[in-house]
Amino acid sequence: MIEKDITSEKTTHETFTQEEYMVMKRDLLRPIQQIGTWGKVWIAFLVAVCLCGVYAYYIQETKSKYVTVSLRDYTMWGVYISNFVFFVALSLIGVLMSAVLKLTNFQWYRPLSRIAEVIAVAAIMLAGISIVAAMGRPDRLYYLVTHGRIQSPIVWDIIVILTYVATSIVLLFIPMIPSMSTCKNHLTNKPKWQMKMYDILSFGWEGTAEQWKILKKSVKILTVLVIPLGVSIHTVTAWLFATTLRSEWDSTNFGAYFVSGAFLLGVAGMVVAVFVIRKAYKLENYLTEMHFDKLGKALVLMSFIYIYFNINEYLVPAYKMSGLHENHLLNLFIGEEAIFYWSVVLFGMLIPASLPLIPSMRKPLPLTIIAVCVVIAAWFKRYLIVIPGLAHPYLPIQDVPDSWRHYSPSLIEMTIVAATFAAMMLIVTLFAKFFPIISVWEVAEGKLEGKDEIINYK
Amino acid sequence: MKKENENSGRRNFLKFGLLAGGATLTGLGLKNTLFASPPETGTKVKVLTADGKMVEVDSSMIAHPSEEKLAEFSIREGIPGKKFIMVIDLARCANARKCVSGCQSMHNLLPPIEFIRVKRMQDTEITAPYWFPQTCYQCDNPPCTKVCPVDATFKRTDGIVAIDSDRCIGCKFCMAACPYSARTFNFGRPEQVAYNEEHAKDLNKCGATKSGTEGTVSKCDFCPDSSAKGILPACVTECPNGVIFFGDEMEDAVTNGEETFRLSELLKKRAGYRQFEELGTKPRVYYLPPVERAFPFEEATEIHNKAE
Amino acid sequence: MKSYKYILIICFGFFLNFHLWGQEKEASMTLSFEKADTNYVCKVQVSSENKPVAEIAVKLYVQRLYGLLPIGKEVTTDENGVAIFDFPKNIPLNSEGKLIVLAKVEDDENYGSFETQGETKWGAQPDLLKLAHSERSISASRGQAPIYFIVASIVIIAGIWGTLLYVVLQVFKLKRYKLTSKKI
Repeated sequence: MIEKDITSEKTTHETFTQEEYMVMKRDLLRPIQQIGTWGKVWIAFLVAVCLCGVYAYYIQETKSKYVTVSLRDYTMWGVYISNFVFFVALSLIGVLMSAVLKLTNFQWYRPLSRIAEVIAVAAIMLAGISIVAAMGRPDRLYYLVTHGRIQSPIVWDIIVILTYVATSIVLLFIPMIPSMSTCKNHLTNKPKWQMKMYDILSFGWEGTAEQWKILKKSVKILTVLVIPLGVSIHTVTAWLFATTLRSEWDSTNFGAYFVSGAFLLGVAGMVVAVFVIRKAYKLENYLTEMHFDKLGKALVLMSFIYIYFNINEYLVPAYKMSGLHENHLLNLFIGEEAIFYWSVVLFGMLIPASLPLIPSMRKPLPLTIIAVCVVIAAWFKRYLIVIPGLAHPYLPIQDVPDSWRHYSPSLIEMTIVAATFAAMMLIVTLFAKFFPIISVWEVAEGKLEGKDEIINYK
Repeated sequence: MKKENENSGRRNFLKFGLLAGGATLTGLGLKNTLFASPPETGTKVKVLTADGKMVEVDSSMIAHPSEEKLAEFSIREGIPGKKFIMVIDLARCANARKCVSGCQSMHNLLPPIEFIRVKRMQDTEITAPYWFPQTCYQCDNPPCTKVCPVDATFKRTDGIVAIDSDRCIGCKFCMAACPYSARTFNFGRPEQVAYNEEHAKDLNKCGATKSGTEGTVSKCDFCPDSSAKGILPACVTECPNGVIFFGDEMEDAVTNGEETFRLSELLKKRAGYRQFEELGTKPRVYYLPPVERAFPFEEATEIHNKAE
Repeated sequence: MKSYKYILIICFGFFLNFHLWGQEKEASMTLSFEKADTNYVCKVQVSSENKPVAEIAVKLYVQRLYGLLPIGKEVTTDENGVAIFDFPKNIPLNSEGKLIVLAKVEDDENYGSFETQGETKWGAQPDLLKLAHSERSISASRGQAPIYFIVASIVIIAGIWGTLLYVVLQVFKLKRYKLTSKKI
């Protein structure tokens, strides 16, 4: 029976040029085989920042929050929530870079998909941690399970985050099964537990046609599943704001606006990640200039989509300038937050929409600089969505101390935010230390199917 | 405190056991969320509606007991047979701020935390400014209870939107959802914590909302403990000008302690309105517009709560 | 300080004397409810030593939870000692389906203050359905989520997690298709 299956399902997966595959294997397993001094320093630095964050959180929870955190009754959501939104947005990178490109038959996704997915997993986990840091009573977190109320958008968000974490992890590990088998067979000088881990995670993979069939099918199902999930995770996050009656959030546009912003951030984050990984692990043969060229074009497209939704979100209400929106909009356009707001528009939308149109700007270094601007602007964009709105409620703020009107994050808050960033990079770094960050078989398969451009661009 | 009927919830849950089987931790959490229901007595009673129709409802649906029974009530269900309502006469407010201090001493609050605020409002440049006392509006379509993830804030049958500070997880979503900024959060301000400890056993206070629980949300609660005993809320009794009227909508009467009016007639005669009616929150606090004022408007001479 | 107290006591003594003296006559009231045509009226009969008292101002109230609700304005009794109040039909009844009605004479120079209490069933049944538990709704408690909401949630959650579970089970099937004889 099995014998028959193999002959009828004659696949091409295992018939690539053996020689070439061995080269690829050697290149892509190299980051796991050894770790340099700079790698160790980098990991130590990230661990130190994370520990600072843990200590800051300890201080926040043991001392009075009135002292440690600069949140007050009007701006009761601060950088933790904007950071949460940022990380949720960043986690959409996985959807865009692997699922959308895969289903639309763009072949250049192949070396990128695993990088994107590991960033997605790390980001969504830290989004969860950010929201716990914002809670007044984290000791009652389990009430969400024991007393959860399905009508609340927070409960939807928790459900969709957990689902997305699970799906992303599965989507990360299933395409890794053949790679795990490669690691098991070709890695040397590794501790026993690590080899044992590869053995378990390879699930008895031997690359038979039947196994390939199952793998392909599973990956396909997950790829289709992760798109609506990714869109809904960020839409539900947008609903945390849009389901309130506050004028600055009371927008039917909010879900799409958030999702489009997340795609822009996803592309920019990908550019930065690819640049760093390419340099750090010397993977220039696999993460080529072609990828920067394509990502640069994607950045332009996503910027235009995001600009479109921003026009809907800001300029349409500004045209009407109703009493409800006036306060908030004028504050952003010409008021206290104007410099902030227009810098975000410039660096987060106009620059990524225009500069990468010039071919020389799509080279690795210039594009990465643009992408870094976009990532920073994207973080501040979330800050501008959450905080200035809260400071402009319907009824005027009167008879309160100055610190209640103006929010600026405290040192504790910024340390915790910094630690979430460090933790995200640490997860990606450690992942790359134990698992091949580029999928060997996916790249090989792409090459085999005649998509030479993937590896030998220009 | 009365908890939901856990048993019937569990029984119902078994029925759906197979369906929920595939779910993980999250799914399990939904157990009580989805399948608990309020206890029903099973006995049907006939009641006459306002428009003269006889309808049959479960006896757990209605309650209209005598006044002696008012003190016995569950915090989640509210005081039986009552529907509290407030009317604030803007024409009488002179910004004496006695309601603010009375409320603060009733609820063990230290400035700058205020459950009732008196705001200076001026609708347009050429219209006259007026003082605007603002409490929690105990909305009938409350945006805050909609978003609470753990049922820590809820609407009671007596109209009050209450907070269970033993349940609140401090996500502050209700504060974001409230368009009136009526809610405050206990950030554990050291002075406030010390004050709460000092006054923890003060029996004269209306303590239904434990505003002293650190890391939880609190707000104006219409002083339900005193209301249950037929005592008016602190802001009503403390006001020297009789600005705030309080009463039971079921009785169609409101009083400021001195004068009592038919609610419906007062609202009709004085053109009562609710703040931000367009938001559809259906507040239970009505305002009487500041016409034919009892006092000339005087700007506040001091700035309140300036100290950090 | 002490002398101040004495003065107070003396003053109080004078006041008490004066008060008793001024309120020589005792008066009482009876309440009756009558139907006149389509209107309801409440008659208050004020009498003193079995004689009607004329020209005395009477106020009528209905008892409410937090105070006394005045019914109309004060009415002065006629020569028969009767004050007639138009009684509204739409005052919500209390829990026993009654209204506690109070008639009061306040600080009359001849008779002082006195009051009487009566009961009537004239009034409107309050809309008890206003007190009903909230129905299943988005703003209701966790046990009262709308059915469509619960069903939709279960369908979506079960659908996604079911698919996920299926995919994971597929992975465990991989071992079954091992071909130890063939190597990659």
